[in-house]
Amino acid sequence: MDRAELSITVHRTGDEAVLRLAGEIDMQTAAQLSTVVNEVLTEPPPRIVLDLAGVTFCDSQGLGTLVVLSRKASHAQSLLVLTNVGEFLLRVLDITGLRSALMIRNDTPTP
Amino acid sequence: MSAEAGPATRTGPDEHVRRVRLPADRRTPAAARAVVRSVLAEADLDELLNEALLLTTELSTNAVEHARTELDIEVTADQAGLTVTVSDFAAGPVDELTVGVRNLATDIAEVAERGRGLLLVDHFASRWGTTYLRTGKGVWFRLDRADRRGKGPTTPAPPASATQPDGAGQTAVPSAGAMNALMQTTPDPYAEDPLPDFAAGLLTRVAEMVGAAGGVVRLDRGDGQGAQVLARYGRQPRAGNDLLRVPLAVHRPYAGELELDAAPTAYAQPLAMLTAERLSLHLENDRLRRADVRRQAWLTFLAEASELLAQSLDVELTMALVPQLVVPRLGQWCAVHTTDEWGRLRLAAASHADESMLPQLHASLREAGPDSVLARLREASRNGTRTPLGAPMEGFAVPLIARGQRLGTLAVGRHQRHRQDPDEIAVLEDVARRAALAIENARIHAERRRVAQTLQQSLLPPVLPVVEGIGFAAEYVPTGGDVDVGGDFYDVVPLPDGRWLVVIGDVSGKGVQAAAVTGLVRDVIRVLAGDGKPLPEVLARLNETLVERGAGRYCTLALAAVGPGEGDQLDVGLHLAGHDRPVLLRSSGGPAAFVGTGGTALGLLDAIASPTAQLSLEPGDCLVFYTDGVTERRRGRELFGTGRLRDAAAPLAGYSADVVAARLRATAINFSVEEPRDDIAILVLRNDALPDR
Repeated sequence: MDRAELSITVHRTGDEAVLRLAGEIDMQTAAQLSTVVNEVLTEPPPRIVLDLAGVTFCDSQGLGTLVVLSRKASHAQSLLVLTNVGEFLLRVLDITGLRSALMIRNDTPTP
Repeated sequence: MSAEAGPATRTGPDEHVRRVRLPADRRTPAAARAVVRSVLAEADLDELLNEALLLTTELSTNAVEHARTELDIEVTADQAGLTVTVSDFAAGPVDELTVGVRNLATDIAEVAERGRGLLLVDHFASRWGTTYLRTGKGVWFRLDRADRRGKGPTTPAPPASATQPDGAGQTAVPSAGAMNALMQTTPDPYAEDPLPDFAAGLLTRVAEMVGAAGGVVRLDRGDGQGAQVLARYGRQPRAGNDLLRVPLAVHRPYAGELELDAAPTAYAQPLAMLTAERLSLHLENDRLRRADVRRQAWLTFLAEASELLAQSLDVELTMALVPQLVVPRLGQWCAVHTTDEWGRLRLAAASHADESMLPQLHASLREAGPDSVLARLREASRNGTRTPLGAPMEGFAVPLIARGQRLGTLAVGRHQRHRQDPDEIAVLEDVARRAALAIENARIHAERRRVAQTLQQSLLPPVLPVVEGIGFAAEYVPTGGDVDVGGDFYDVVPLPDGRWLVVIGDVSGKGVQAAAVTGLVRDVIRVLAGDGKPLPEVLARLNETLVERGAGRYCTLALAAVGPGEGDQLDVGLHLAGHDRPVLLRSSGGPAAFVGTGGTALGLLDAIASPTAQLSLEPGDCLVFYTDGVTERRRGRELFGTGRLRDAAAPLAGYSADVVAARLRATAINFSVEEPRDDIAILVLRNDALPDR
């Protein structure tokens, strides 16, 4: 448990790519997230959905990465959407004022 | 930005402490999280897990990114909460810890990527701060369990070196933001007197930070008003409360203190001291600025005093002036004593700020005895040094010394409730020096005037001779307050042949040298005329003497030898040497006339012309001699002139010599309100053969 683990699986459907994230996002794993999203953006779908249901931790580095990726997506005429955002992460997004800047779709509120 | 003290380290039975050293590595935050997670599990503090992991990550990420040295993570947990300290081994100060701002932009293009770590720490942590270690420095945070936050003092306080006065809502560890605010409160540079606002702002901040219920800043400016409240916060302290008092580091005569109604705990004390220091700095500034203004005012005062004193050439006036200058600016009362010729002190002038106290002041000054004011004044005069005066006449005495002469003393009583600051004492001593010099100058001036007047008096005959059948009368007005002796003189000398010689003259110039020449002229005439020399020869010899010995001065002269003539007549032989022609008044009436022929003034040329005019005075006739002080009497730019003199003399025909002289003098003097610029001499010769009309 001494290492941050982040696993990402990519599912591409017609007009969106869904990335399921599981694990922790911090300075160690944020780069991994960037790499995957950047790969997806080489053929940008209209929407990239980050499913954060499996994310147990995300720090300010992770938030910074999400900001950067959202910006890149929007430059590539794509839209980065966060879904299944955990309750604590939502609080963090509120505190930092990022909730209104990032696209968040919590269809089924995570417990 | 940083608190001085580190987080409280606690030791106790419920404590869970873990220390780990980790490399500067990207995996370190995760490792730190693992440590925190296990401690939280042990301490049964899972409710803090999310916050603790986030904050631990933020601090360790910062350390990895900035310090690039190994990190020490210390995790301490107890029943109440968790403290995590992340320290590194880098030298130098902690990089500036900037708490980022909350994002306000909704457009992702405008959103910052970084700078949220400390924002989160500041938000979630109950307290956080920095700590300096010998080996490096650290940043720490404390998370309290929700049910422990904001509890009243009934909750058992955390043991040990703790920081917190456990009042409701009080925070012991100041936040960086609050510290920042404390340091950034500054006086308004444009306000007239920014100190009260500044002190109030500072006091409010520090009181809020240490959780004080009340506080006050007192300042005594040493201006006699005592300690004044500069700023107040909150409520009055309750009796028996522990008060935190910090003196303000200001210089005399300022004194002050900062008082907080808060327990002197670990943070309260240094914060109060820090605040007091900031406050002192600006108060000191204020003191210096005020001192500067005061000094300028003193300089102006001294300049004005000097000018006033320098203008006064009158001893009495100068003495009276000094207390008026000193009271009330420099003291409550002031007394000037002068030393008389036997060295005794004599009160010359005294003044008191309160007129009704003046009799009492005089009474105190009269007292004799070893402890009396007078005894102290004698001591000051004898020693030539400033001498303090004891109660009840508290103050001090300064000797008045000018040109090494002890002239007396200046005693000044201090104002009640007012310290005499060193500046004031220096100013007083300066005033004393200037006053002494002014008094000495006035004395010298008076002495010179006395000498001049004595000299002048000695040049004039004390009384005119009384001669049967001839009336003599003279009027003499010396130049007003001027010390310079004029050169006018007159004389009546008996001649060996029984006749009388009337002399009136004017030596050029003024002052002692002119007076010396006047004496010479008078004596030469007396000697030569007494020898029976003919008057033209007397004039010629006098001319030679003046050319040789007159030091460039010249002299106009009218000589008239008077003797009985035919019947009741008086024969007059008139010799004029450049002098104004006398006026002849006939008692029989008719216009007054100038008589005689002008000759050469003496002392200018080697040879002179001295024409003689012979005339006869019928009984009652007058011959009026005068000097240019009469004809040149001024009214503005207008001169009295010979015409006016003649017109003024005409109606006086027939009057006695005394009356004629006195009337003409009055007319000349009343011609103008100005002081005479030149001596005025009038000499009247009258044939008194008939009794006065």
